[in-house]
This record gives sequence, C-alpha cells and structure tokens, in this order.
Amino acid sequence: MKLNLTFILLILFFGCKNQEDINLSIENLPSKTIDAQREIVSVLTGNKKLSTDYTINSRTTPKERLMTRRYLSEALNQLNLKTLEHDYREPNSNVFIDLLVSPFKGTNLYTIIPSTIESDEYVLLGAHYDTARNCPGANDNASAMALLYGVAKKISNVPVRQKNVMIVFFDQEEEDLVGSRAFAKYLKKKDYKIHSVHTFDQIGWDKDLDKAVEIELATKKLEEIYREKASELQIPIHTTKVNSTDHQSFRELGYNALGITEEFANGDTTPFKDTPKDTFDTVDFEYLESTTNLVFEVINHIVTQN
Amino acid sequence: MTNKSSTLYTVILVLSLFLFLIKGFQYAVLGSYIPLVLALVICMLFYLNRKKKKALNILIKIWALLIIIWSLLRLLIGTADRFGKELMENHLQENLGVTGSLISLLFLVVGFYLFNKKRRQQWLN
Repeated sequence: MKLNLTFILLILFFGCKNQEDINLSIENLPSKTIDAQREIVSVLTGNKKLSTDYTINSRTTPKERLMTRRYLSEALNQLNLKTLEHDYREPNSNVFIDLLVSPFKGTNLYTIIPSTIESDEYVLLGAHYDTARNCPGANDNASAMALLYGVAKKISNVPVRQKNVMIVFFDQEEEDLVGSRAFAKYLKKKDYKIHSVHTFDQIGWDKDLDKAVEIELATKKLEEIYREKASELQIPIHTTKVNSTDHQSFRELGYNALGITEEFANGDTTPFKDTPKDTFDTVDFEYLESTTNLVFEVINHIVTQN
Repeated sequence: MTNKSSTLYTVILVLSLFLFLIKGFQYAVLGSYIPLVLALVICMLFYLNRKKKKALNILIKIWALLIIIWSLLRLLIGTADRFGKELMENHLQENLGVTGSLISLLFLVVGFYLFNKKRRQQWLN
C-alpha cells in the first residue's frame, strides 16, 4: 500500500505529459485567397470542424494549441512551405510563481520563404495563435493568422525576392508575450540577420468601413513604406504607440519592429476581445482582404529592394 | 517503527527533497536560480544535521510544514479559479487544474505523513 503511494506519486509527477503526435490531413484550401482565409478562420474558431472528431473551440490548452499548429502546418504545406517548430521553456514572471508551478512550455511554429537571390537577410512576419480561455479568438487572433497565410501565398509567387521571409506563429502571447520573447531570444542566439519584424494582432474589425489600419511604433523608414503603399491602395493609416503585443518582444532586443492592427487605439475595434463572443461571424473578411493586400505590397516592396 | 515503515519514511522524505531539487535545476537551466538555491540550502541543512536528532526533528517539521503550505496554496488558487471568476492565466490554470490538484493533494498527504509526531519520533529513534 505504502509502496503503491510512492509509485503513484512518481507517475503523477513525471507521467503527465501525454501530448500525442497527431497527423492531420485537411481538405485543399480554396484557391482564392479570401475564401481560403475564411476557411482558416472558420476552422481555427470552431465554426467548422477540424476533423470528424475534433473542433478547435479555443486555442488555450496544450491539445488545442497542438491541433492549431498541425492545422497551420498543413495549410502552409499546401503552399509548398515546410514548417519548423521552435520549442521553448521560460521561467514565470516572478520567483514566487516559479516555486509554485512549472515553467512556461510552448512551441512557436514558423516557415521560411527563401529568397530567390542568395541572401542572409530576413523579414519576419508574425502573429500569435493562442487565445484567452473559453474564447474562440476569431478577431484575436485567427484574423491575423489568416492574413499571414494570404501574404505567404502572395509572396511565394513573387518571382524575384532579394530577402528571405520568415512567417512565425507565436505561442502564449496572452501570457505576457512568452512565445515571441522566446523566439526573439532564439533569433538573437542564432544570429539571424533581421531586416524588420512586422507583427499582426486583431485584423478583423472595421465597423466604420474605412479600411483603416494602425501601425504601432514603426521606425520612420518603415512608416514611410506603409504610408506610400496605403496611399496607393487608398487605405487610411494611423500611427500609435501601443506596445502591448508581440512586436514589443523584438524591440526589447533591439530589432526594428512594428505592430499592425485594426483601429485599436482609435476605438474601431472588436468589443468581444477575450470573450466567448469573439466568433467567426464577427470578422470582416473584406477588411482582412484589404489589409492583406496592404501588407503584401509593403513586404513585396521590402523584399524586392536591394 | 518496523524496518519497512522506517524505509518508507526515508524514501518519502528523500523523494520530497529530491523532487524540489529537480524543480530547482529545471529553473536554473532557464536562468532563474532562487528555486535551486532554496532547494540546495534545505538539502544542505539536512545533510549537515543528519546525525543530530534534535535538529533533524525540527528540520523535518519545518520541511513538512513547507510542503503542507505549498500544497494548500496550490489547492486554494486552483479551487478559487475553478469555482470563482477566472483568476489565472492559461499557464497557471494548466498547472493547477485537475492533474495539478491531484499532485497538490498527494504532497499534502506527504506533508502530513512527514509531520506526524509519532511517526517522526519513531523514525528518529
């Protein structure tokens, strides 16, 4: 009996890691970008089943996040892009919590669209894939993941690229940007040469139908590019100093980083953030398409310039 | 105390220290050294006082109390989160969910087992 207790203790302490490796195959995504984006948001928010026996209702638990990564990986594979996983462990925000619980454990997912002319320079585009608890996270942040898919698809078709493009899906943004902080450290450690970092958060709400976007803490040069391309597409641009999302992690380590979002500071933003009402049907896909086009034009400009 | 119960007491005591030591190493690798320092200090105190019955008695009592407090804190936070408003981030909820609560309960039992005066005295003698 007493020996059994010791065994149970050991099994519970060491044996609670049951993340199965799930292979998933998904239907071909529609060829039209906006339809593919609609499909992606639909699956990632539980509006449509992922497989016959699984629905992603939110992207919070390790299993939900694993299924999200598998789905994103499959979606990118359809663009002939191979995905890689960056596993990390990070301490908690204070030592008292360290004493009580285990470290943060997560996985960032990324892919590289290689330059067509040899280059060691990277433009990084990122969006987080986790959600708050019990939240489908359509606007925050399935919309931005769909944007990244759209931009990746368009950039892959650009015939001459002078820089590599790295597309990253960050884990655990909702928990003090843990995933992006770990990824920024990883880039620094590996000595990646990063031209600029563009992170996207909440790209699905445009109640006033003006298609406006906000860029957060851009350097003058990046702001100029965004303004020039936005002007060509007749998209209003506002600059803000919001730093509460993933681009902050990169700026802390000295990277040239900015954030792109709907009119968060101006107030034309989803009222359903971090609630169960942040659902598929609240996403404005025309706005998502318009922002995707803007981001593509900006990144296309950066990767085609010497 | 029979030989068998004495061995069990030793195993549980050593295991409880060892598991916190592992936690300390786990955090040290990530650059957070305080959990390891605390675990090492406690282990060192046990080692240095291994032949002093009175000091060892006090040490086990303190260690058992720390385990009880640790478990109760985890249980309290986990329960408050489950039945009250969602207080915690996902990561804490993952740690203090059902499996986490079972681990806390087991450590609570371990804490009380080590704290038990009769058992402790018998083991020391």
